Amino acid sequence: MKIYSEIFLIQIYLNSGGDMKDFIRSLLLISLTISALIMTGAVFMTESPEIVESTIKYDTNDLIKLIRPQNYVFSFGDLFIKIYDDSYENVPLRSEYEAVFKSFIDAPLEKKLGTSNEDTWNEQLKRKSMRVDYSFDVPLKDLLELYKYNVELNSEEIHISSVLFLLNRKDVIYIYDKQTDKYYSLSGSEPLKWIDELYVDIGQVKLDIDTYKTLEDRYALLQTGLRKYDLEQENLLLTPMALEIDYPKYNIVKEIGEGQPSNEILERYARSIFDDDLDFVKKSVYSNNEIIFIYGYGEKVFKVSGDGSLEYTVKVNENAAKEAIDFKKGLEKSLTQINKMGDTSSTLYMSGYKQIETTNAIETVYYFTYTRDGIPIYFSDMRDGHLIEIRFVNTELVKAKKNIRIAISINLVDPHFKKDFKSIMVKNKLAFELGYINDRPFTTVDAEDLYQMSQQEMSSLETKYMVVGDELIPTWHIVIADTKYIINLIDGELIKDSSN
Amino acid sequence: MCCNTLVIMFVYNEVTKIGKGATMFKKYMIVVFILIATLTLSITSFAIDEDTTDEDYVHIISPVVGESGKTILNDSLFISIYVQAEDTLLLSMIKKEKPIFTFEEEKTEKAEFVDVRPLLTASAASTEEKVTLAEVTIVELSKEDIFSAYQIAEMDLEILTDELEMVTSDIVKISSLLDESLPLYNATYKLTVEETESLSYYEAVMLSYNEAVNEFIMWENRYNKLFETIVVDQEEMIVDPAFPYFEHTVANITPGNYELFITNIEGEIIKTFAFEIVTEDTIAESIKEDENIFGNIFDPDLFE
Repeated sequence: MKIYSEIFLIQIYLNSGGDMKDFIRSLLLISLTISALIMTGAVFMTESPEIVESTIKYDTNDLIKLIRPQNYVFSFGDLFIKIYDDSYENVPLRSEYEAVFKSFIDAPLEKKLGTSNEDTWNEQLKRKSMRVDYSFDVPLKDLLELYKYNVELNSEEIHISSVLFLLNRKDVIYIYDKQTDKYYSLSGSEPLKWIDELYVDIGQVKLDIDTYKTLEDRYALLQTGLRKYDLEQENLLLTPMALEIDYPKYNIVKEIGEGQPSNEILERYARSIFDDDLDFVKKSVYSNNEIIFIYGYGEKVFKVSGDGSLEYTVKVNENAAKEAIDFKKGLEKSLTQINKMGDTSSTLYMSGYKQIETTNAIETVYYFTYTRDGIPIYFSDMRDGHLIEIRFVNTELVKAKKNIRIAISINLVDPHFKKDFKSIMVKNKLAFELGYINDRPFTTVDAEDLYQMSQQEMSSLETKYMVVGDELIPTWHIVIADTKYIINLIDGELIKDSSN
Repeated sequence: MCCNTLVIMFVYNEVTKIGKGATMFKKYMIVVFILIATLTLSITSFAIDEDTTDEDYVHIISPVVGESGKTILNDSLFISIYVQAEDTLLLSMIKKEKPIFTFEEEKTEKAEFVDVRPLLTASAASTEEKVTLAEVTIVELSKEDIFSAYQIAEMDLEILTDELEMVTSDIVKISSLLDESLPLYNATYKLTVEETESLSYYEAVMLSYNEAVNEFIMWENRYNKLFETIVVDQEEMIVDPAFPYFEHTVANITPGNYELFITNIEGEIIKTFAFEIVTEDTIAESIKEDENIFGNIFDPDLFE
């Protein structure tokens, strides 16, 4: 090698005509050319940093905690108690419910899944019962698997949107699948544990603010105001009976603090999200208070927006196989990602689930939210109001977005107007009438009956805490005909929803 | 109005046929006639419309009771009423307690008060000043006073009822002689002095009897009111015309008999509704005896 180098150098010297300057110039030129070739090679030959998803293995209980019911409804015949929280006046509602469910599943006889119908469901609702509503349509098989229940149900894919337990009938539970609008009965033998005790406990501690009646029981619209229209379908929607709809409001701040977050905070988040590897991470700050961390050539991006949202995106692998992520696996990965993106509230739960199939991929989205006093939080700046969105394309996580607020103080509000259900609704009468006409342009309902008809067509009423500026406001989310309305329970006024 | 149009069209066609051969004056009179007829019909139509108003409609939606008039106890009683009325209506509700007085002893004690209302003779009827307890100016009576007065009124009524029966039987014969519709009627019959006195006495007793009935009713009402507790005191039923439902919640309700009244400003009762609130245990026991006793609102299965 040394000899060849010497010969090479002598050749260069001779070619330069023996002139030292020319020799040095030639030598430099050749050196530069060789260096360029080497470095170019280095650039193309070096592999990109591998995207490694680190998933923590969670205890099943951690995952089960996320699949919490949205609310529990106890029927006492002509009135109902609707509870949003997992615990109610020291009654451990959720744990008792899960124990009953487990006991039913564990009961000796084989479980038989049968079909039921809406009439039966509505009839059973009036009996002494407990109904559990979920915030999304939980795949039954996945739920049973999560609970490690060994139950074989030979049937099509069923989801639990609601499940009904009758106080005086222990050998059957009823299931409603909102996704397919179907009703089922699940029969077995009588379990060791049932809802008796729970039912009695709730009956003893129930509060006025949690008392509800069905719309038809309350107003008998079919027999009174709307009698001339000969309607047959009773509206069994639960309406609150409290004389004073009284919830506090809260002052809130962004998770990452107000104004520009400090470098220390940003780095902490970035380290957590990029698994402590900031070597290939570049930070950019934009004029609209947006801060972006780009990993590599944009394979992974972490964005902190001026509106307080945190967003993590990963480039989609175009060559990945078309495959839906397993429910449990997706839940684990979601929880891992959420924990990487800041502190997690103990009230965190799964509030939505969607799966969409396209030509080349199956997209799965898990939604999560927090609660305040058991009531779910709704943020109209986020899709469908959920605080956290975790998106998978096939089996890979591609997006995690989080927009959280932290409550820092409570505001007890003195009511300055009559705040029962009827008063609040009548206050917004005109909006409901106009909305009804818009949804039902060919209606033959008389003008003076429009409001009553709009009440008859009310299909949903849920209480949610909503992020409005720097406050967390108690609200009602109501659906009348085809329109959704949000009512601020502090002042009784309508709020515009920008989530869709 | 559409009927008017048809009538007008018909009349016009007919009149046109007549008018073809008529003089100018006659044509003019025909036109005037048509106008008058049209106006009359229109006025009549509107008048009829004004007379056809929806009648006031009050429907008590809640509380819901079974065929036996019973409803289950909850912490609160929810009242819901559909109100379509021109006038202002008021809601009242009372609870009727069971009497707590013992009667036997006091009845014996009060027997002497019978003499307070002496039997009236025919001659004394017109001159004797009638004095009843009701005419005495009473500032405030105790429960015992009211009870006593009620008992006295009851006894007076009993006495006068018996007296009236007796007097009526005495004058039956006389009446049959004086009544045209009866076979014994005698147009020329002349009453004796005793018979005339008997008739006068009968009228006096009848008068006293009617007064006693009124007093009894009054004291009975006052007596019953001793055992009534006002639960809702003339609450004005204010409703929005677009949603004419009145709601009222009575908190901390207890089992018992209740009566709901809907009255107008003048105090006239528009509607009443009596019901009983019972506990579940009461119902359960009753259903064990007779499954159908509580009719449509209770499902016996609930208590199995």
